[in-house]
Amino acid sequence: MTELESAQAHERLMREYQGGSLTAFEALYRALAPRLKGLIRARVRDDARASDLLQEAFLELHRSRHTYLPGRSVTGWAFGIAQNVMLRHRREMRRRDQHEVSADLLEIEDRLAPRAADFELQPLQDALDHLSPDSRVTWWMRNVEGLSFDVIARRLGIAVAAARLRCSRASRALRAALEKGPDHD
Amino acid sequence: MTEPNVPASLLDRVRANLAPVRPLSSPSRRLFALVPLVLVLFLGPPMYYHWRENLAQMPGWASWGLSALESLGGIALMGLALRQAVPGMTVRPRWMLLALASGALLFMGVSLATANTLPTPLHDPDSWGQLAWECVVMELPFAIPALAISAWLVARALPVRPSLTGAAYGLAVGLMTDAGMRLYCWIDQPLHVFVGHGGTILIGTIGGALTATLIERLKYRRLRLMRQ
Repeated sequence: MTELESAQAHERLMREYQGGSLTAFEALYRALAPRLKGLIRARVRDDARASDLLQEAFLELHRSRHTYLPGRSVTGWAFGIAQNVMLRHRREMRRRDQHEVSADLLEIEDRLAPRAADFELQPLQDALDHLSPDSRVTWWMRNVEGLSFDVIARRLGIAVAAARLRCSRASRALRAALEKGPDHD
Repeated sequence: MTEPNVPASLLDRVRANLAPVRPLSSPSRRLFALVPLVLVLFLGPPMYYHWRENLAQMPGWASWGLSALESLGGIALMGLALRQAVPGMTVRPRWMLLALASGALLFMGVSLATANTLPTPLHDPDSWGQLAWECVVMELPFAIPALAISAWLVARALPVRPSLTGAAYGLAVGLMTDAGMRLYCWIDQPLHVFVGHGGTILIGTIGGALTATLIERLKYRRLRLMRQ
């Protein structure tokens, strides 16, 4: 089948699908799924997640089947919907990462709390308290957990240069606070 | 190569709601359906509030001509937003941003050209804030319903980047409302026009972006519930 014939066949199937044909949907799935899966797999490495997103894309495709305009490319339309699903997924992942960073921060705060009872660490605890949460978590990841700037940047969703800068500023602020002594504010 | 079969869970969900649907009209047809709205925004403010006092002193190109140009700019942006909302017809974000910047420049150009043609300074410079606020308040009754109609039209489709699409129709509504408002408001002083009229356009742009984003989030939440 030539590309033109295939495009015409897709369009015919799409019209039947819009008319309520389940058989047409199944045929479209068979025709489009491998290409959509390829598109998703190019951006999502995890196979299970890619399959999940493919199903979500087809569900969105079903819900938005009225948005297909007769005469236009079915593949282009389906790719547009898959792209929409991918963007939403990316936004959701970003939001989830931010939550994880907050959870990381809470965990770090928890880990710091008992040590603060230790007399020798109390000034450090006080100085750390004066840092912003972002700076504190960056400094902790670098200097206590020993993570590389690449990993820190990835986990915090910031640029490597920003992680480096945040960490060096946090160190400078800590040094200044410690030199100033316990009376600093 | 074996052809993939439809997963049973997906097939069940599709089977559960397979009512025939009417395809969406093309963006150009839907834009054409908005012609009455464009006319209401163009003629509504001057007919409802009154025509500007110095309309007769203005050359035709500066009054009707620039208003028509601004309105056309709004129509073009609205067409772009409607197109952007259809999967497979989207344009790159950088072109959308360029279109938004062009819309803002059009407003500034029209305002400066008018101020240059027929400078009308404020009689009481201290009251510029109040006058600007009055213009915002007078434009909103026209802009808000237009924004709601545009949001509904776009929400019927599936915008890939709702914030950009929403900003485009919000800016379009703002430009079209200003095209009518400048036929009523006789003050051409740039400070007044940029704060009062530009403020409404900014409210429209931000309002459109927020509305479209919110609607798409709600739609997405419904999809997630459907999957569970």
